Amino acid sequence: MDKIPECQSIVPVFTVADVGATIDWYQTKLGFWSDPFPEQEPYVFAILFRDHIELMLQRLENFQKPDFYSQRSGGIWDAYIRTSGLKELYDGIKDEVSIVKPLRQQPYGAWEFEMKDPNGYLLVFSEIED
Amino acid sequence: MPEFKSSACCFPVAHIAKTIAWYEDHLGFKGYPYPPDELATFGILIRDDVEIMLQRIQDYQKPDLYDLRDGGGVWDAYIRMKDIKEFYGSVKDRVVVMKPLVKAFYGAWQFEVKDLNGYVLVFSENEQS
Repeated sequence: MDKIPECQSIVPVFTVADVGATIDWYQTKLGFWSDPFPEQEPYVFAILFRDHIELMLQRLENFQKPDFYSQRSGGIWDAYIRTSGLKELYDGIKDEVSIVKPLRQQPYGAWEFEMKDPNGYLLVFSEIED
Repeated sequence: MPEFKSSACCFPVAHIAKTIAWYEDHLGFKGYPYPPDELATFGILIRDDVEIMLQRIQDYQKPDLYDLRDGGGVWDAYIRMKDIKEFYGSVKDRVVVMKPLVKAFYGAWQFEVKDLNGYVLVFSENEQS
């Protein structure tokens, strides 16, 4: 019988100027673990992981992410992260990160909030109400 | 304790319907535009457990960063999968392959594809021991 290829997970890949500083921020603010490469700074690549998700960082010297957020009503996102315990997450970090939109329920039912990471990547955290 | 259960990549694109058609025809995704017509401003692409979200910016052209990084390209999404050799065989003649299927030094089999908007997707499978 033929094998049927299966796509199992997708990892957003963020281009950043400073992998080490980005790792520190994700560890401190959002509780990610990291696997950087090479073993010593300056890192050129890293995998960030927490629970069931991963993010990847690729170093590009002096890179500044363009800000497209205002070019679409409803904003421009970079990663959409489905969670459980969203309210607890929000209450735990809202005073320590750059919140772009606060926790609220969307017309399509999901509870969401939006935040920016230190490089300007827009993360949406979401939970579907039971 | 909050738990992060899954993530989706989000890509700004100039045309949702064209992007959905390409992913359906070339990579076996199923697309859902919102609103469900040619004027869609948002879309979701799904294949198996992978999700990509599309957000419309009029006339958007993705900057091409691929050659700016020493030692191997700038990626936009990294997709972990099973049976990558069969998948590569079925798509390689129909898409822009940036790097063919090879075993990377860290053990994963992977190949790189550029989508119609210039986003670089890496498909990867860890070798079974």
